[in-house]
Amino acid sequence: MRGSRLLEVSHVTKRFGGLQAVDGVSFGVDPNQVVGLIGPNGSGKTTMMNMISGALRVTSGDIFFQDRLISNRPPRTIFMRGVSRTFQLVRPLAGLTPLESVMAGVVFSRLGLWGREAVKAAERALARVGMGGRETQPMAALTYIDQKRVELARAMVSQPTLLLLDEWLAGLNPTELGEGIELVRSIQQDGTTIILVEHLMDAIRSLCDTCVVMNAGQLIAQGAPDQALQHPEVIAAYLGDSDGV
Amino acid sequence: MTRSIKPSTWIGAIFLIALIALPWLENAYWLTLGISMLMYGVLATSWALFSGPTHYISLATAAFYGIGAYGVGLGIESLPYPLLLALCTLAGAIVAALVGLATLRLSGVYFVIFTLGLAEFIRQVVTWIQNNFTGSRGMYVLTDFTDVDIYYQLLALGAMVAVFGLWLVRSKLGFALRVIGSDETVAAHVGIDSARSKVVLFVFSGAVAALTGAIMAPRLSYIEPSMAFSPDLSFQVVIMALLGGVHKLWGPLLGVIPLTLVWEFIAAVMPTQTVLLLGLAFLIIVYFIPQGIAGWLSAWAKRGSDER
Repeated sequence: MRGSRLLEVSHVTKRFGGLQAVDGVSFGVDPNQVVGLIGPNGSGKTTMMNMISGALRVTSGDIFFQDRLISNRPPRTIFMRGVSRTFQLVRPLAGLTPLESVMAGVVFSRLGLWGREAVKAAERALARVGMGGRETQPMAALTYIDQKRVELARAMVSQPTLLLLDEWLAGLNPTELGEGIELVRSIQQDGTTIILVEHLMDAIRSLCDTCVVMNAGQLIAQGAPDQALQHPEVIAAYLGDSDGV
Repeated sequence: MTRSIKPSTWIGAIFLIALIALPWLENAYWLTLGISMLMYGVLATSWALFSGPTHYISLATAAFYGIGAYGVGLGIESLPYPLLLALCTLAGAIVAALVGLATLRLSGVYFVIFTLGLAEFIRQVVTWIQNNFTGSRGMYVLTDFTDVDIYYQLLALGAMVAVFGLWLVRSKLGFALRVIGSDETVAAHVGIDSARSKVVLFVFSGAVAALTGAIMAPRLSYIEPSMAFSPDLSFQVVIMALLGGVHKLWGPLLGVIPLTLVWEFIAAVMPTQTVLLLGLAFLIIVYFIPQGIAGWLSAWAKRGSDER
């Protein structure tokens, strides 16, 4: 089955002690798609993202990226193969300027840029996320949203093959949300495949080619957003059973 | 980062000339003071190159210093001095690499305790060996070196540390260390090999401390474990570096100079109270100048330029 798929998640399980956070989940991601990973809070989405990026080990199962096993490899190795990410809770690099923060995303990447090249790449990425001209403001002085922009620039400056966005659109106001959606789409047009964890259904509908829906650690539906979101189990997961509780 | 190269270059050049010229005064007191300052300056600066960006507090300075001093003590009768210095540096580097590989994956607190324990462990082993096999508590290191010779050796080592430090702040490795110090999780996710970067710097600071101990051994002339592996040295180096400031290459020197002077004074007036000074200096750092004198100066200079 593998071959054409960029990412293949196969029977992946994650246990934290007695808690089954992800339970035998399998799905695939085709090249150059935007895939929405959705589900109620606590359904295991972020855990799944962390296993793909290497931040967490899998308890069992395999994850393949470009037909190579990446599960249980260090985050550094996975990043070097072209998988980049943002964090659910933004992680600004305190003590560095936005420019340096974004440079950090490209200096040690497979592009290996350094010096003027790295600065130029970082400046371009910052301009793309709307932070042009603010390269040297202290990170601590930036708003939460601007820190998120810098983090996205850091994740995309290395021109990753696969970009993992963990609720990057959350907290944006309607204008910013529109810009954010356009930005994600433009990254896709660069040839990057994107998996995004998101709660905003409008964003999911307008961006995603496919949706993967999780609930209580299990995959309950996948397919085009409209179909997946109509699935009875998905409705039950979000709104409760029709029997009512 | 300000790039006002001019004033700092001038100050650096004048400072360097003063250091080179100091032995010409032919004043034994100043020379002694100069040797102390250079020794602490080298130790504190190389310590800060590792601990400044990574925030890993190493209390192993005395372990490496002692290894160097003992290496020279053991080999001075049988090996040429330059070879001995190289071997001591290598020994320090190897021990640092082993310790680094074993401990730098640990979080900060465990690392601190381990490094403190390491110095103590080596001290006990050396004491045990000497008590049981050599029949003497210490050993003599007798050479023809004058204090001036030792002073210039330390100065050359200091220059090497400074050159390495200047290179480091412009290098990929230095940049990687800043990212690691800021957020190790992010570092791992942008392709940085944290363990390797930290070990490289820890090996550097360990090797420099061992070489410092090796150079100082002839001056001590009699070495015993409680002197060579004294934990006081580790704490002094940390306090000096923190007082001066670890985020600038020249920061630790701003702590070394005043503290060495005060130390000399206290050691002369009330020799038993040096630990008290250590404690007081630590309180001052924590409560008043957490960024060190260098950080305080930078903030002050920045305020000045903003008002203009």
